[in-house]
Amino acid sequence: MSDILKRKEIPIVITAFVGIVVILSYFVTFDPLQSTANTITSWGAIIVASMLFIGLINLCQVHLNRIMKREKGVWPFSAWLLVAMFGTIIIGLWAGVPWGGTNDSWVFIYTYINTSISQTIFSLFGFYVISATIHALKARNLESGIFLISSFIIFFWAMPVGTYIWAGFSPLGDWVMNVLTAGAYRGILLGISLGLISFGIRVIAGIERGYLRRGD
Amino acid sequence: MKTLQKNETKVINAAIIIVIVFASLVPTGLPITVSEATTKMYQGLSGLKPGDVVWFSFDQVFVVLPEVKASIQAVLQHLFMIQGIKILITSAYADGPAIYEGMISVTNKYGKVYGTDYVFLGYVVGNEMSIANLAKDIKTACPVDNYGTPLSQLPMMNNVNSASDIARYVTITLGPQFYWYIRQVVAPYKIPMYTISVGYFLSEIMPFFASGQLGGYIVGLKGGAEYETLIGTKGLASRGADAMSLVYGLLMVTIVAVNINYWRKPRGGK
Repeated sequence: MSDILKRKEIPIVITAFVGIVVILSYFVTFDPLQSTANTITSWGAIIVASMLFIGLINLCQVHLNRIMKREKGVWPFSAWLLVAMFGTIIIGLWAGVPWGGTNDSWVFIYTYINTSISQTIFSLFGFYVISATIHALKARNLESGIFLISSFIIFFWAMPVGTYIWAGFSPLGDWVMNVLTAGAYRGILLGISLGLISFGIRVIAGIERGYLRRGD
Repeated sequence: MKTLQKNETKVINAAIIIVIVFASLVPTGLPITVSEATTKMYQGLSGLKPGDVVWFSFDQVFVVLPEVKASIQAVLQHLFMIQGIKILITSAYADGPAIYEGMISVTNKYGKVYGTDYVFLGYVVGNEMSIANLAKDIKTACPVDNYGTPLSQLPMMNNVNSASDIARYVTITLGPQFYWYIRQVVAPYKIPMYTISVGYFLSEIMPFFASGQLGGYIVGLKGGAEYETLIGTKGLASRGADAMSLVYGLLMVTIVAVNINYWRKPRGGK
């Protein structure tokens, strides 16, 4: 019995069944097919939710291991991470967050710790971007000169006061964004989509087996 | 001069800080131009009629809040200003409920009543699959709201069962979840979609605007300032727009100076 369960054909058949049913449900309005597809997507949502719990266990394993081994320069941060994580979980449960509740401690964590730290890091990123932009936009040759000019058009297009300086920046910027940038991105998106379709067909057909154990 | 060149990055960073502080302390009220995409988003949402339902997906994380907070507030205010419409709010991100609670107060003055005019379903876990499930059957995918009240007890939800009952869809774009909505809501149900996007994702949403799948969008602080101009309020974004224009100006002046300096330097030829 256990040998049968280990057969690689089982996950391949399940994957093919799930893939075909969900794809067909977008094109065929047949009630049993629709309800099967709904059940499958509900299972998918439940699996994603359970992954959060698995992630929590994994995080604990990794960081407890570091603390036990007293990894130099790392373990205090691991300890702090676990304290912060379980502290937040305990305060969240105490506040009744899973049931829509809240309290001052919970609001304090989000408003004065989480928000402040996240936004400080994101704002610092702006300084790096500006510094990198200044160093990247040097007209060393014809190509970088074109890059510099198009960047200036976008700067004027993007700055709130830009088109008041010269109304022509609006159509010029729109042209750069709608034709050059969107055109290039459309190509990338179409390429990715075609790649995903062919990957999906290979998975459903059982040719692509990377998701199986050892990929065999 | 050599000291200045050696400390170039520090000087630029200091100049940026000075410009931002100056713009914040001394609002200059520089003019704001409204883009086509922002105008289309405003017109699209203004076209809602009494009884229409808007699905507002509060997909937000704290990290990028400084860039889009003003835009979200402007759009929320606009939606709450429109008489008779219903607003269904969800979040596909765990941070969403906390951010929602901190922001929804800006709409208090418009007199909409929770449960009758708007409902918040909270964080709906499951990524793209949960969006697909919500679009198919809201009450099965999420039987209670964020506060544990069954949807059957909320008057607004009496006639709202699936994405087919939604007139407009508004989302906050931070990344790949934009595609979830295009795939699971816009394409199957043909619902006009509008988005508040962060700047780095603009290139990815533009092809969808050109194809008509995206009805309109606003981007970052600038978009928020444009939207505030359209709805006739002066909020966070309008104040930030001055700083933004001045920082762009500083950036361009610095780039020109760096290029002049680069071309003045003698280079070894062949």
